[in-house]
Amino acid sequence: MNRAEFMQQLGALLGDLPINERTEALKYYADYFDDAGSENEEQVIKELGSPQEVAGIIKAELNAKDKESGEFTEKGYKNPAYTTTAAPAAGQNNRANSSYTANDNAQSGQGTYTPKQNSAGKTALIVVLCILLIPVGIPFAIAVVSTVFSLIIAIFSTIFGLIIGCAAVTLALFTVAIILIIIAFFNIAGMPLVSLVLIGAALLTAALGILFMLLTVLLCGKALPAIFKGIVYVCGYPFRKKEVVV
Amino acid sequence: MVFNTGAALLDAIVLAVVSKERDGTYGYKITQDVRQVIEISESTLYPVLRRLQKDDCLEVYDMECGGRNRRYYKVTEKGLAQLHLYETEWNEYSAKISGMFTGGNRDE
Repeated sequence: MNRAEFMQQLGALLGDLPINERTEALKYYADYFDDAGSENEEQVIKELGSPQEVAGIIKAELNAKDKESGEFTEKGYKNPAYTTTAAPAAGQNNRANSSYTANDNAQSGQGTYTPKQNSAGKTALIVVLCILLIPVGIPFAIAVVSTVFSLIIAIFSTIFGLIIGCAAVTLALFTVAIILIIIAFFNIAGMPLVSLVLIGAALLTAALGILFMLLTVLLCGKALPAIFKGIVYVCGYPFRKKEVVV
Repeated sequence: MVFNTGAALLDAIVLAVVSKERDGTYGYKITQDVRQVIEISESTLYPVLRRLQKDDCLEVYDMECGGRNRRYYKVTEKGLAQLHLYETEWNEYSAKISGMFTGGNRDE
């Protein structure tokens, strides 16, 4: 991460602060980078910590300020763990040490806790919004789902129709070819030339029939499995959709 | 360091550091100076400065430096009074603690 990225992220993270608090903090850190010098940029970023940490500390302080105005006086010493265990008796070094780390944890915990409260508030807000949107959202969702559903059905029926049409054309062509051949055979003695023409026509018709048959087979082979898959998917869709809504 | 630096002590140190410069000083330098006496992460100091500023213990002004406006911090009257209070409290407190540590040997 470089300075520009750091500042940009920090700015975004402080987005929910009052504008003067935000510009004030950004001004401070811009100054800080300037005064540290560009050659120390990397070092400064390393020491400052992530933009999330920096923003967390700034917000924790602002929130603490709102809650307890008495912080300015004696907070450092009124800490019970510190004064009662560390100061008086000898040989308490270990306990002093442990209270120090516990304290440290509590402090860093405070830094991350307050932003969490914020996000909890946001989640609650989103839930309320969702509940308020249900009267509008459910009919809308139903409309969208049914539109999509009918569109898909229309596409499926078109493809189905195409297949049936192709099959019918194939059948008709073969029938015509067979009839033509039968007529030709019956008249081959009387009108051999006409019969030959009829046989030719029958063969042509049969060829066309084979073409349509191939088309039908192709449609059945490719389109039918796709259609069934699609139907299964569409049937499953409302259930999945419902799970998301509820 | 094993001892925790509380908010009041940090305030006192920052006020002391800033008050050393008659014409005020700036964020980066304050951080470096404070870090000479206590271990503190660089990001901890801004909230402290901001709070002291809101409590009217510090005042800020911008001054041109090297082609840009640098923000300076300066101790106010109230800040000085607060610093004296801290100094008194600290002397009393640290004397008591020191006395407790060395008492067995010296006061006999």
